[in-house]
Amino acid sequence: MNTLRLMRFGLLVGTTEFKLFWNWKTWFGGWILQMLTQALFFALVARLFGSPDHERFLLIGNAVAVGAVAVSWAIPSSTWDRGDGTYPLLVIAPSSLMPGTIGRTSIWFVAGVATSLVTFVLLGVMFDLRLPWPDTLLVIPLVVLTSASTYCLSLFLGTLVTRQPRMRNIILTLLTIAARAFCGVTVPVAFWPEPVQFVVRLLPITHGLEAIRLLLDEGSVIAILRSAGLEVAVGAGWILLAMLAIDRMANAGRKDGTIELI
Amino acid sequence: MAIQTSDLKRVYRSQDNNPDVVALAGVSMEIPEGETHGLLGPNGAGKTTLVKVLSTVLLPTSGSASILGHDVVDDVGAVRPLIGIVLGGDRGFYWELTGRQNLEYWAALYKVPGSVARRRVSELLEQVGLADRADYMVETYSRGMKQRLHLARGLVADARVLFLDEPTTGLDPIAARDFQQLVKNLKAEGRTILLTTHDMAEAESACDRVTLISDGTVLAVETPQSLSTLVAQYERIDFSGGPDDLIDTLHNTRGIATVNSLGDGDYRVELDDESAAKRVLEVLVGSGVTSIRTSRPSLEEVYIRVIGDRGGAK
Repeated sequence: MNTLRLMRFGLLVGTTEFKLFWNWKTWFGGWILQMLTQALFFALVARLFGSPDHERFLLIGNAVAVGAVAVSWAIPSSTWDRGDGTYPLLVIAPSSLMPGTIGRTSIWFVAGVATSLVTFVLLGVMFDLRLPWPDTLLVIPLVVLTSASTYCLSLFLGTLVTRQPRMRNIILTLLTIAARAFCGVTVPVAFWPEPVQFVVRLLPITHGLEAIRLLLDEGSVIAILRSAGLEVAVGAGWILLAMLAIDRMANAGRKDGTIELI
Repeated sequence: MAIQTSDLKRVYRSQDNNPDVVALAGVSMEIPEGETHGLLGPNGAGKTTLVKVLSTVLLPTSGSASILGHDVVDDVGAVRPLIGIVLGGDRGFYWELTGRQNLEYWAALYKVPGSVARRRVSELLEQVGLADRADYMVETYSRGMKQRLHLARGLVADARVLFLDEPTTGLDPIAARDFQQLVKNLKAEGRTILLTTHDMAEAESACDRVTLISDGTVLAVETPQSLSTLVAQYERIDFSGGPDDLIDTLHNTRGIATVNSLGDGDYRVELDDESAAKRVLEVLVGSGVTSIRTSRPSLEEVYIRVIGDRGGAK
């Protein structure tokens, strides 16, 4: 029960911070436009080469990837307690750091889901994507699932960068690049050598995006469920690692003296 | 004992070729329950490092420390609910939340049940004089209001031992005085308070005993009365002008340590006897000097004298 209270207060902090960045107008006019432009770039390259299949591949992949970009902001936001001077106070409180951190950063998960879905709809209309109806509605839970697993990895990386807050934006950038390059967004996973594919299958997005593609290409239900299940497993693995790491990172800071009171 | 340390050391390992930094060089101290204890020292003396170790933010390199009998390294789970820490400065809050929301969040972090937390937060906001601003965002608070909110946060879990780390730094004199009154109220409630400061007047007014610390070492443990005597003993008198033989006259006056020229006809008389001030003032006024000012020595100067008096000059 107390865990939920902590998550609620953390979410309150995260939400008020989010509102400092964005309001509805700037979110649509700034963020969504920026994400849409990125997706358009790849889709237009495919159109230039006259390949409808590639255009569809890139449109769907990028609609999911832009959500991952938003979710990845959970990485730097995990370190913001350092900047606020609240981190040492959280460390010495009797509760675990985890619930408050999840609460504070989870707003980026919500933002990621919204970014993906809005981009998906806009791109679908702009490029007249042919989608099976009403099956396409199942994209919504699959985007939620993919964003959730991406959030779990972001949270894990966020717990690591609390030790090196200056690295937060670099890690954020590396994750978004890796997602676009390796996880089936721009090219199929099979494009990469086997060892790379092995690692990629441990990353979020890979299986979730695969499930979305199967759904929109009217693949078998079993194949869709299998991919979705793998995405769940990947997310669960990363959140477990985050839970194991977060208090250990704080204890490492206690040991080497990198936690400042002010 | 509320707070006990034994040969507590903390060394910060250098990450380059610079020498390691010894922040605490073997601190041993005992603070009984209910005492307000001052930790007095200049910047870099080791005050904050000691508070960090005692409040479980930092692990010691060696030695031991305990809070109400619980070791701060091995029994951290028992220590944390017993302590509260009050920082100085603007940070340590969520600025976009209200004062009430901040306190309720901290109450949740200390596992105070919801209904108890709501009642306690309201009481604390009343106690620190923030009831009428409780539902305003912290970013709208003045420096003094934030400091009072810091204190309320430190008390939200009903801590038995409070660490106040330079809580009045940057406060105007009135806000500082109000804050010191709040600290006295806490003492009356029987809480143990460790107050770090570099302000001797603050230590004198608020504390039962004061530990002088420098370079990570305890120099002395004094009562405020003896500290006050110590300070008064080393009072200085500055003056301008006077007849030619005045300096010789002063040199022959009992209780004077030195008479030094400050340039431009200004002089400083340093006393080594509290009662000498009256004699010096009589000499100066009798010689027709009209520009006279008394001042107290800096903390560093008192340290030097304390170290010298104890035969430990560095």
